[in-house]
Amino acid sequence: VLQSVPALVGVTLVVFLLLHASGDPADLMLPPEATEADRQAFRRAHGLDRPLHVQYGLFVWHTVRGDLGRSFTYGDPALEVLLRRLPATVELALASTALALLVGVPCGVIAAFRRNSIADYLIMLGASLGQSVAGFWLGLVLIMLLSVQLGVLPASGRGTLAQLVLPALTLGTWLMALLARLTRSSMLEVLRSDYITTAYAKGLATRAVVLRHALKNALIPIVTVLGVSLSYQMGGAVVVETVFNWPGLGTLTFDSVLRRDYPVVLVIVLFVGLVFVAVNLLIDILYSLMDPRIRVGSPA
Amino acid sequence: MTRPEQRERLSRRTFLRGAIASSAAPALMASRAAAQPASRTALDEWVVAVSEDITTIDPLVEAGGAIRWMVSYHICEPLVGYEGPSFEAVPRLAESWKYSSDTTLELKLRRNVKFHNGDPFTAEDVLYTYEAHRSDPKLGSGYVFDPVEKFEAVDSHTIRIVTRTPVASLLPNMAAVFLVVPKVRRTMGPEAFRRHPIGTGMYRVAKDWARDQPVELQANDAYWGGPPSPKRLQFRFIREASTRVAELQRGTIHVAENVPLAQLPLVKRGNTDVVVMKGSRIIVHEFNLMREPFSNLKVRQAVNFAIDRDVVVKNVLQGYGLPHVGVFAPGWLGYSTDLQPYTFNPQRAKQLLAEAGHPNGIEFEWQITEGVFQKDREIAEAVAAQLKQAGITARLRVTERATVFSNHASGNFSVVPVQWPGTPDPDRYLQWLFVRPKGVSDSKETEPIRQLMEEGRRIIDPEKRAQKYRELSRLAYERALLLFTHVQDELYGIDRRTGWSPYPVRGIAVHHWYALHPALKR
Repeated sequence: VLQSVPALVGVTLVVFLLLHASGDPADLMLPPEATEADRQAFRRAHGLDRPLHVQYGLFVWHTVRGDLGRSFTYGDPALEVLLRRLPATVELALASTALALLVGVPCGVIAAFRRNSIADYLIMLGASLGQSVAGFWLGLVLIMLLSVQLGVLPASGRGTLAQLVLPALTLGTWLMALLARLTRSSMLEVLRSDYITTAYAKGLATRAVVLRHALKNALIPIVTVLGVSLSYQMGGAVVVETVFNWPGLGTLTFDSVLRRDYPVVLVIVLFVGLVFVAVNLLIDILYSLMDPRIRVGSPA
Repeated sequence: MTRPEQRERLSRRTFLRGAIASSAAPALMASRAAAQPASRTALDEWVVAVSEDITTIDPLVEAGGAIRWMVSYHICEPLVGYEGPSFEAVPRLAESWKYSSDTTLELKLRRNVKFHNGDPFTAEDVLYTYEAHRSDPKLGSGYVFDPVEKFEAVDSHTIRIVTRTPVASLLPNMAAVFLVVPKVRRTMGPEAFRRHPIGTGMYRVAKDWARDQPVELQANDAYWGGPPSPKRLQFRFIREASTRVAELQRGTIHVAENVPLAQLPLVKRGNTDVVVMKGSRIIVHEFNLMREPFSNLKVRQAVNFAIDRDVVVKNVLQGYGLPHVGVFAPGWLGYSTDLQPYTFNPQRAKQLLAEAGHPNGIEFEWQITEGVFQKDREIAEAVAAQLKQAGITARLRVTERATVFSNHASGNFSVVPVQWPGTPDPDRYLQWLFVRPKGVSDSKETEPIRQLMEEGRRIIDPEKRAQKYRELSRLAYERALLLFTHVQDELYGIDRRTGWSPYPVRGIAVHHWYALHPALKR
């Protein structure tokens, strides 16, 4: 975990410099009518009139002491702004990942078992489409079909379970397709292994072979992908949150960058950095649970 | 425009009559709506989808964004409003006003007005609001109040404002930012007030507001001008235009702001329709006058002669705009129709370029925005293609808005876009065009312009003042100080049952109002 500190410092520094390289929050926060004196006062009030290295130094110093600054836009503590949006993001990420797992993995297993059958072809066609379709387009088409034409699901907003369906489906589609393809190829490889032949030879039912022997081993690459897909979920979330008006972190990040709301952007960068560190750690632990050979210190 | 002195001792009835007469165009539109009583009663609650995040609804909280002003305007009121298509000054919390000298303005406040919590409205509330503005530079209202020497209450219902020099824009600028807040805010504390702002306006906050939530308002039945309709009004932020349109089609929202042209066919059918606020947003492009080749008058004229504005408006904007002639737009103080427009003439442009010493044409970089205004990129591409016919090569560079702002200020541009919505007073717009940007303000070309601005700022009489701005507009247009393209219409999708059409209210982009004006109800 300590290894992540230099990474976080590096990332915040880069983001800090890039943000300050262009645009002035005083232009974006104050009405265009404001005078130059108003703008100066705004910069002074937010410490933006100081040299860059002093501003960054103060940011680090305050962060270490637990003060992450206040949002220029909202006037609230930046951390509070992030925490307000966090539940929506977690909810959407969990729902879309769960959907992807529940649909993608079984589809991959079926495709592997029924290799070169109609089912396999249909699943793989679906997976190719699912991976190549643009989330923005998919979201709008789903709204048009299910919401405007059929009127069965709400088009936007957050609060009810029904409102979660379309965003989760849109965000989960890419991962679902990826998981289906990955499960299929991983299963095919596993199914060729000797221990599968052994399992069949000792008279186990197909079901037992798949669930107890094959799938467990085929899951290792899938866990890796789940970790990596987190970054996709973050990026794709901007689009999905935009289309479905989902009040999450994606659009908050996007808006805060456009508005040059430095404190909020930096809090998000820190937070996302920490999440990545945590997820990678979690995946390492999961590996060792699933495959004893990977355990640290034990001979391969 | 009516002289302010004539506004003295206006009774409510004359105000209502005056408001009807002064805002003839929206009145016509609204009365057309009123002619369909069934549609009026059909919807007691309107949900308005706005395209920008509502960052706060307390008028005294620092935070950018124009939408919040529009929302606040329904809850709190200015002393004097500038409303309707021609900036008509309309009594709001002040029932009359007069200049006793060029630097002294006296406003008589409306009596028997109550805030939503029942507190009576008095001069003390006006002073409280004024002090809040004075003490918080982050509100960005220094431009309104810096010239003020004294802001005092003569009695419980009279305010006197003394300025150091004559400031013609004082009243219109106050209309934009000075939404009166009760002095009880001080005891409530800003946190509580932010959740539940109190004003004298047509609507009161129905439910404590929290960020990322819709703003829910209900009619203030005790409103001094009579109860408004609809009874309930909700503002919801929906970022994506397609989603706004989808929700409109579903009937879950009733007015959608900022409808993109591509979605018009979807909106113009069934129970939904499109309504337009004509020519409400100026989009103009600034030349860097200190840089080659735009320091040369003939080059600037050549560029303006090489643009076919009618084609841009007709084909790219599908007619939802106006070719931009002069510095202002229709309805603005100083707008005039007697300017000779730059008509599309590539031959003339080529000739001017040759005379300027560029027989082989010119090339320049044009910073443009994408997806910020209606068809901004498409318009720039169309114009670039037209310029090409005159041997002018415009290299388009899509630039993020924040960068456009800072490049504009620092003079780091050859050509850069500027937009301005209808505001009650032209002075700040002209500041933004001719004083703020380096590369423009340090050019000798703009000296006479700034001189005229200075004079215009001191003329209290609106008609005489308009004359100055007409002169300014002619000069800037003839000297081709800007690359003129178009004025954009604002498009709204509506549920037909609302019968709503935009009633312009000028402020910091507070350019429309959702309540049907009580004065227009009968």
